[in-house]
Amino acid sequence: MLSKKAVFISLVFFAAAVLNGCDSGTYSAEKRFWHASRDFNQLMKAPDKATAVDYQKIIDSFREITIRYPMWPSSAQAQFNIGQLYAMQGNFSKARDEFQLILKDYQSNVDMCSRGLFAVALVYEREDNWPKAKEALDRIEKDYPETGTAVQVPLHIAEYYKVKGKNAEADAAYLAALDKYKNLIKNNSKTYGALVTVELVLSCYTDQEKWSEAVDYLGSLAVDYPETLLAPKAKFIQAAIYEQKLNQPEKSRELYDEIIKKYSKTPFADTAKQQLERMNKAK
Amino acid sequence: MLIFSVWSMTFRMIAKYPRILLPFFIKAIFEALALTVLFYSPRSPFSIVLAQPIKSFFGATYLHYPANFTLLPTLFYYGQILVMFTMGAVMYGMAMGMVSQAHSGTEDVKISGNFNRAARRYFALVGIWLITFILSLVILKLPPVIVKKLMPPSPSAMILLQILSYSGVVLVFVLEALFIYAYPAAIIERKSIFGAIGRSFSVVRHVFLPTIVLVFVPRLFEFLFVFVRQKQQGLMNLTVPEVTLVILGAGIVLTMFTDAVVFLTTANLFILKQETEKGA
Repeated sequence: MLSKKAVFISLVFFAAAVLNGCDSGTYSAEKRFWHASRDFNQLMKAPDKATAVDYQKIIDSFREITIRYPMWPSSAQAQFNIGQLYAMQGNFSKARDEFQLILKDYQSNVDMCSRGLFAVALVYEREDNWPKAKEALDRIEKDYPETGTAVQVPLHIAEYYKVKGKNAEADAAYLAALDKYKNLIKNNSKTYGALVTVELVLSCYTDQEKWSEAVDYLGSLAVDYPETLLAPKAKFIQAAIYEQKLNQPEKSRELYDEIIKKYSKTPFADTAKQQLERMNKAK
Repeated sequence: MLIFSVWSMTFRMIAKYPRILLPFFIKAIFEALALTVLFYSPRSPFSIVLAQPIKSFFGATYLHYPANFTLLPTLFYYGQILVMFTMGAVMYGMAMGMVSQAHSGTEDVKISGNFNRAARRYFALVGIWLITFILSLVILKLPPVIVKKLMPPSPSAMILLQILSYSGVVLVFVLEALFIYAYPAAIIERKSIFGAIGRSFSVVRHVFLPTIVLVFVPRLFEFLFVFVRQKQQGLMNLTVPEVTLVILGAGIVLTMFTDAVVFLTTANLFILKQETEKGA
């Protein structure tokens, strides 16, 4: 009887060892990350209600992931979240240290490295240390030029100057940003990146309220790249500007109409149709 | 009155020979094993075999937490079919043999003897189950497909689909009642697949209402459990993804008991009917 029990217990232990011991860790990492992220998102919804213990608990959960699964691709994201949690508590120096760790421990993950550096810059901005922030931003453009974060940097710099009321610096920065974005679009006109960059160009013009310049540039895009998605997108934005900012609804209608007819197979056609219907109802 | 006496006879039989529950317990164990293997499918060593088919048929997302829990009910459904095909039908047959022995009162209820008896009738038992399964698939899947083809997606179409889904489940229970005596007929009377099905229809014709009640009452609990399973995704979002495992596990236990009550009561009624026929 005793030997039967021993065999049974050994079997259970053996099965448990096989099931847990042979796991590569990815699944466990995903599970821990999901649970930590859920707590993190919960905290983000009401950060004022969270106590220091709540913050620490989530930090510990993310920290465990970075220690246990350093090679797991989302481990860098866990490290980033730790930095964010310290920043949210106002512990800026600790937050910077945590963001800097991404550059040290996850060098091959250039996207997360650039995001980490951007977060460092934001922390410096919160501390009103613009020279250090600018240094970090410049480093992103220098060390990680191919990342999405690097593309955001020129606009961010210009917006910073604008918020701080440094108009001359802001104008120069917007000019530099526009120059960079226009070149990016020119060199990658058939890519999804070009479509996203159009939004950044628009942000530059919107921030400066240069509506006519925006319309002109968008018009040139539609002429220069008629076979790409840039054309309907540019026309769509043009139409919106004509309607909402330049008070020329007829021009707007013409453009929406053109999108529906000329670019009927693109997703912009449906949206243009909806806009036209909305305008007709409002008439 | 017949229904109550059959229930009472069955529960007395279970109390006297608890081992007649063993086939249902074994089937539940196999289902639990299938669930365990499928739960561990994204992880090594099970991923070696299961990861590729999951990736090919459903997508790589389902090999990751928590999406694997969204797919788990579907995978478990296939697992249950496999268990039924390999073990389940034989276990039902084994239970029929055990009831027959318990009913005679003269011989002991044997486990291995009845297993061998059922295993020898494997093809007949699986055949009966397969026919019932295919017909229930047609009942459950065909009407929604027709509605989706004929009606555009609208609130009324959604309501109709919901009604069809519930009435489909009820119809499947009716179908089960029609075929339920095929199992005892295949084991006790050693009938072939179609002979057993024919015999089942002929028995149901005489005891239609009692059969319907004997099948419906326990299955009602399973029907109610369908509502819990429908809320599985919502429960997952509300609590933790692992709740899926609890729901499926509870389903295994519930099915074990409902199966036992349905098959044992109807087997008893079949034997009573047989005795009546012999007496006449």
